[in-house]
Amino acid sequence: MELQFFLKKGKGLFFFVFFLGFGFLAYWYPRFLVSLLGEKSVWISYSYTYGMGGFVFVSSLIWIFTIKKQDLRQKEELRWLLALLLGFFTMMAFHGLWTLWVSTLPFKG
Amino acid sequence: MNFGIEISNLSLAIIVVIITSYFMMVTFFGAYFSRFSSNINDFFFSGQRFAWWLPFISMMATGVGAYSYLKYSEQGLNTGMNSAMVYMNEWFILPLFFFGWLPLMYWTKTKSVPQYFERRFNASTRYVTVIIMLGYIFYYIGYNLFTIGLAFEGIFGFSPLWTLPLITCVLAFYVSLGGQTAVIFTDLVQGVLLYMAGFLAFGYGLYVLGGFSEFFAYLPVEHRLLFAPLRENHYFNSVGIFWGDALAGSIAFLFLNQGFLMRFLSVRSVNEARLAGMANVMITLPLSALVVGSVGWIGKAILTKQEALNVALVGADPLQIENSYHTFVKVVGYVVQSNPIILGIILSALLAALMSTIDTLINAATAIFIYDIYKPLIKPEASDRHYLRVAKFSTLGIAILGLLLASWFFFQQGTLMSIHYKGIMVIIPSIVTTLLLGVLWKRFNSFSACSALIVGVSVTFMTLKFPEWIYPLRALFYGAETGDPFLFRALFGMIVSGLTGIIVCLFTKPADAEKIKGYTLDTLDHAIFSFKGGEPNFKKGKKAHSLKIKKDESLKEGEIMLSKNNREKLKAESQDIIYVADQRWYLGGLRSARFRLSQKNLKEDDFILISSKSLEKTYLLEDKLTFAKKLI
Repeated sequence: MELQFFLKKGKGLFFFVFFLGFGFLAYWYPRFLVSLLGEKSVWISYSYTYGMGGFVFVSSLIWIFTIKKQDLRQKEELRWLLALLLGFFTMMAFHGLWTLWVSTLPFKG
Repeated sequence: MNFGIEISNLSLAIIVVIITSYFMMVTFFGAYFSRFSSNINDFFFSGQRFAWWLPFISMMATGVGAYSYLKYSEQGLNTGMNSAMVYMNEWFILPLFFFGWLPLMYWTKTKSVPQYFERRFNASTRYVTVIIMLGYIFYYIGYNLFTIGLAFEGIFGFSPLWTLPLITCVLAFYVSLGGQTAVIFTDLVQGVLLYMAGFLAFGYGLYVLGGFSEFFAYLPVEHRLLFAPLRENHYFNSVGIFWGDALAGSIAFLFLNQGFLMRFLSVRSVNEARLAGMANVMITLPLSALVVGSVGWIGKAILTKQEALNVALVGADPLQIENSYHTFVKVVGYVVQSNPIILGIILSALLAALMSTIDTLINAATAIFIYDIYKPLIKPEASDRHYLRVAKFSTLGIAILGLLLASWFFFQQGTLMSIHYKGIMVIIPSIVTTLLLGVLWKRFNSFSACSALIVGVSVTFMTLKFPEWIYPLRALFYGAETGDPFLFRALFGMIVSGLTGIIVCLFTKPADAEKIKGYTLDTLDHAIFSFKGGEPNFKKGKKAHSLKIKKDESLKEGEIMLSKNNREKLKAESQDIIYVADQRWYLGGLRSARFRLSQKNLKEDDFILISSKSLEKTYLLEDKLTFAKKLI
């Protein structure tokens, strides 16, 4: 409801705040990760890519389906939305499991 | 004869046989499929009739070109498995593609990005876009030809001066014969060849190393990760790749790449196009990443093992890579040296791959030339036959121009990846930003679009001379602290274009809401209505199978008649758009067409009625069974 209000009544302000927030996230997030995990952590790039990418992915979905809310009533569109979410989380899980696995293998070089 | 690598006579004979057969095959494809290109819609978009899997398989080859083998092998050798990163970050912008751009292009029947810009904004914006888009495509054509020259040099030691003109002529010849259908079908075969070669090379590499456990054991930990370091390497870091490739690059790849767009628009419906897109990001791209990069990873593991054990793994000499541009050829030549047959097959597949990306690009450049320059500016009222003829001749011209541009790349320095990104990051940001603003923001008008494009591309271009303009972003996004932050160039361009467009838009009159109906995300329903010419029917029906074609001259052109039972099965109503295709699945929709459902019903359930005139204009065969499916 609040998002609808912003979109209808104060679009400009909403997007200004949104992009400002995105800019701040882009500035703050890598620094936060470095302080949390340390620069040499095998998880740092994974967390950065899926953190920033996840933000873009989810916010674009919210954006699209706020504008085209009625489309979610069509079974086909809903199915595609679920397929996208499932695909995204599958890739995220695959990358996570891979990182976990390869970082524990011994190096003989 | 002195070759770039050790090649036995048997390998050479295999290469000659496979390449000769390959050229014969592509020429045959061109000639055979020219019969399925009777107008320019067929020539460029294959009549929008294919099943999803056909363009999907052909995307395998389009996404993997000669440059991919060379570029990612080199990257794989230098930084490891994170060379796969750029193939696996399309996910983040997929919602916008699936629910925004793809349906928008499909329902508005827009054939190219510049055409969209004209309809959404005005003619001036279209021509500015055409110039930028052609710059993008020609950069790719030149880069592809440059890597083709490198590959021939690496394998045979031939100078690109001789090989490139010859290959360009052959490519232009077969693309001009068969257009998009020939490209899709040729890419299909090339896709299989490419994957086979990649897996063979990887398999042999593993064998030489002693299996998977040895491969991983001699690959440094940071080389095993699928993500580049956050900021250490200014050529290849996760922060830069996210902004430069995952956002700007992926949008350019999916939204702007005319070759890919043509693949998606050659499919019979939006959902099938989404299916092709999903299969592409879930299957093709990760597999492609493995196929093109794995030789570099193998190379790194071999070099590490050689150094650790101080022995050559194959033959008497250890692997040596003096010029990393030739990583693929050198590593393959080393690991497969004991098997001349396999070596011949892999190298022939590489040479086949040389053609697979560039044929799409040449066809895409021709599509833009015909639809965006020749038709609107030079000869607006001509027959389809005329445009088809001009398209075929311009294919040759574009290939030759690409050849001239290729020479520029031989003077560039850096890794193959950085040379590639150098140009792409200048060209794409302004167009990506303008496109997104156009699709998502109804107020965005033509003047602001033009300003965003021109200012964006000019200022970003100037950063090649003044890279220090990008430095503030490096600090802002915690990028590498040394070297040219070229990965941030795209973000810089997007910010400049976006700010220019938004500021100009806020101080000028909003776009005419009536004129742009159907061309923005929130007016997409209008586009669907216009596509059908009436209220869309979204009821989900089933297919009606095993229908025999029967002629009926009382039907209007483009109409078909079905029985009441079949109508109900399809959940179709009069004037709905029905897709009729040959029932043989392996044709993938090659023999198919769209019709409108007539008002009257047929009594027999086994038949479908079509007028002779309608039938003549399709590729359906009267004596073959068909199926019918409601599209909308």
